[in-house]
Amino acid sequence: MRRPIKLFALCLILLAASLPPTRPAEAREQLVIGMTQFPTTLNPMIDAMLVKTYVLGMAQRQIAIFGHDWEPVCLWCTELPTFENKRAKRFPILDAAGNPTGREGVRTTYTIKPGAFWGDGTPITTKDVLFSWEVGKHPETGVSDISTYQDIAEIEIEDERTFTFVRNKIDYRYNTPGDFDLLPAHLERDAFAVPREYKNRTLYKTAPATPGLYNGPYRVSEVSEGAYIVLERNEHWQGKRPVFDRVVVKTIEKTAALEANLLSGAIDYIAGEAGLTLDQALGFAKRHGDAFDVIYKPGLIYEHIELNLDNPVLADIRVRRALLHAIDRQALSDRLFAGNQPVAHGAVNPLDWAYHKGLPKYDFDPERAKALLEEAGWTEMKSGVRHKPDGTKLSLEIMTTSGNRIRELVEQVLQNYWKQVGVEVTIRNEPARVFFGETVRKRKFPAMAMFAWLSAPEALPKTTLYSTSIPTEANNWSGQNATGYRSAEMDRLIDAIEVELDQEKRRALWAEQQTLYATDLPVLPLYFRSDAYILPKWLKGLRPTGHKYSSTYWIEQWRDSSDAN
Amino acid sequence: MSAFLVRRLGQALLVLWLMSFVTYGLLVLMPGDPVDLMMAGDPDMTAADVVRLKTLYGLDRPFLERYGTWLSAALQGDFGYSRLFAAPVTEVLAPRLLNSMLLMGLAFALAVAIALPASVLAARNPGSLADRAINLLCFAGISVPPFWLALLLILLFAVTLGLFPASGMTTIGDGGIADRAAHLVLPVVTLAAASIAQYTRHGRAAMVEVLREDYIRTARAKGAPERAILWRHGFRNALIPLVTIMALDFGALFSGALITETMFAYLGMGKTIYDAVMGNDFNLALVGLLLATTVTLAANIAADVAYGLIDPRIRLTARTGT
Repeated sequence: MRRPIKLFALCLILLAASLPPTRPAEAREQLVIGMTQFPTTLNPMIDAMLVKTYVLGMAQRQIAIFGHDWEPVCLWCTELPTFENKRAKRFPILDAAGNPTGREGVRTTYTIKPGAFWGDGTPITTKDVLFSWEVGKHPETGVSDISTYQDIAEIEIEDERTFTFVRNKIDYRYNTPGDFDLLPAHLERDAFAVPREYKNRTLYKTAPATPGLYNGPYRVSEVSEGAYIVLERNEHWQGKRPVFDRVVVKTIEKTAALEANLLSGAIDYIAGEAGLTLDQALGFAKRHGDAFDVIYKPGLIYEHIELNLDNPVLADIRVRRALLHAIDRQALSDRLFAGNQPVAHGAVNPLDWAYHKGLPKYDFDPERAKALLEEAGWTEMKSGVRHKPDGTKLSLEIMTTSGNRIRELVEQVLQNYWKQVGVEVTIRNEPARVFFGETVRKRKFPAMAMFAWLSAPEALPKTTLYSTSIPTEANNWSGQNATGYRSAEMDRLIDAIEVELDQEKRRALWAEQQTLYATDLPVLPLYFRSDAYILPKWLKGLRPTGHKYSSTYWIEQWRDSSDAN
Repeated sequence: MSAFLVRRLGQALLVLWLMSFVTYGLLVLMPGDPVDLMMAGDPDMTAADVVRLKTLYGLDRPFLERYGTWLSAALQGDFGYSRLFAAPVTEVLAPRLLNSMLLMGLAFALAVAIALPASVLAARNPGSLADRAINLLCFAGISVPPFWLALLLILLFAVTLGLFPASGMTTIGDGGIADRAAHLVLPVVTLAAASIAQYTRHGRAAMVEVLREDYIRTARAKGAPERAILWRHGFRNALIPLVTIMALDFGALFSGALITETMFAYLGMGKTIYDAVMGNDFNLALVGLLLATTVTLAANIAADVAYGLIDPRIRLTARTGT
């Protein structure tokens, strides 16, 4: 048997020697980015998905988005409409007989920047705006956030580059086009012939490498479904020329393999927005931090615990406050996340201008927690757990998504904190699809559900806090107010914020809203999640935003510091 | 033989139909639907959006009506549309099935190529140094979790030595045979490791037993050469139980492929089915699971046929009870 073994070993050596080298060439004409998910489609309107936004940030720009300072900025428009620059104008809403109804609408006028082209050289015009509106507002297109398009009552066309959105309602977001995505009418019109089939027939799906589909500094040139997307420079891009000739976005779902790929040089950079979780990044930084630059960016992901307010124990505000006083959230953040995930005192991020510094805060104060529980009648201690005089045990259940290692760890830390003040907490976790699809949606969690909300800057919490947004069987479990929070004052404040155009007056309303939220405590705020960006030392100019418009929207500012140019 | 095959194929079709019904039912019974998952990530979705999208995707229709529509279309060759990949299911699954079959086929071939000689080597002198070493390696092969082995191979051969790519199926812009082969080495070794150990242990046990049989002793007494005794008389008879293990293992390779494909970002069936189930992609999950069932059924039929080929004394019709 010796001869076959030797022969086998020789074959292996010969095979290894004959294979091409796997490390990329030193010259950096291309940037290879690794991320953990693959977009379901590249059509900007279908399926809201972070990784799609990430890729399209390089290839498909919108009319306006939020910038690094969390304020709206024009991408394809010349300037944002305001009442001051006369691009925004109020008008009275009339009834069928032509009489004023007392309500007001708003006209907002945008002009497309000169030099705006699709990747095949076709100019971006108001035809594209009209077509995009037609696609977006159609109920059978499958756009999830259809209200962006349906809220526009009419589009008035002035010329090839200037158009006016007419909205029959005026609210504080009046001058931003929201997520109004532009589609190339000259290419996509045929696919929209049968609206119900559009999502299947769109060229973004059937021929995603068509240059004219894109209008950013790059255009998609190759898609290997589930594996990678190649982006080449868009020759018709008139803005700042990006440094890399080619950007490759590779999907590697297992984060351990993603790390190994980074170390082996198969990828240059792991997308902060869809790469390693914070704890993984902290571990990576400890092991290989010298070789990379690590940036932690807190953002608009709000980790919290929803409380089921129909639970008689949690219906008592003293218990809710006691639960929060019993947790040392700063220590939790320091020990588990090296202090990189700031403690949340409410749903509004301190990076958002609407954040109210003076909102009620619940410091770590176990004695205060104990006093509140005593006050609420949980006075008898038996085996370290509080009971009411009638024998009712202070026992609550916390749930979250199973398999999420960091959430499961946080649960255990919280369980221990609450035990110290005499609250027994049991843990029961479920897979995400069951947890979100059934338990949270149908309010089946008996006490506490821990998860996160993602939102845009100055987002109005209408579906999560409004009293009519409580999911019930009668409304087919619609709405996202899973706590069952009912507050006429909160409803009033949300309504008032929505229609208040003066930013300073709105600031005051936001302050009231946040104060009420923190006073009533329908949820226990935990922390704002951070994204970790592990950058190669040579990659400069990348600035995380912390909100849903990813860093790739500014890819033309990324540069290779080792390049002499 | 042909009557046997026709009967087995008929049974297989019946099992597939039952599987389609049961799987469809299970997928429907699973909590949540695609719209619920969309909603979980988007606090701006309104109640009206949810109702509209459920109607659009047909999620408001009764189970039997939905299943009937699916089955009728499937019988005409239309397996529906994948929500996750926004493409026809056949377009998504066909290349992935081929990729998986290539990975599984190579892993299977590697496992057989190593396990058979190793099992004979170990069984020839039970208790010898070679036997003990092979046993130890088998123990390691069965005990080592595939994801750990994959990571170890990536760290050693991709990160440290730079010999093989860490992931993917081809180098972007290359795609030649050598490049494809380089990308296959580590996943194939990972997937094959457990099978090598399993086949070797079973092969060794079967060989040891066969080598104790009277006819082996008789052959030796007759002065037959050791090589002939080992391979012609011993190995051939030891193969029969081994074929059963291999046939069953080929179907089970799908589950092993899930981890391997994920670790190496290899576009195969295992990961696709997993994603489809988790992402509530009815059509894709259903067809993927049915394909996995088909592969297992085909492997079983192939094993039955192989019995007859290995040992003509085994009558195929007898095994079906007729």
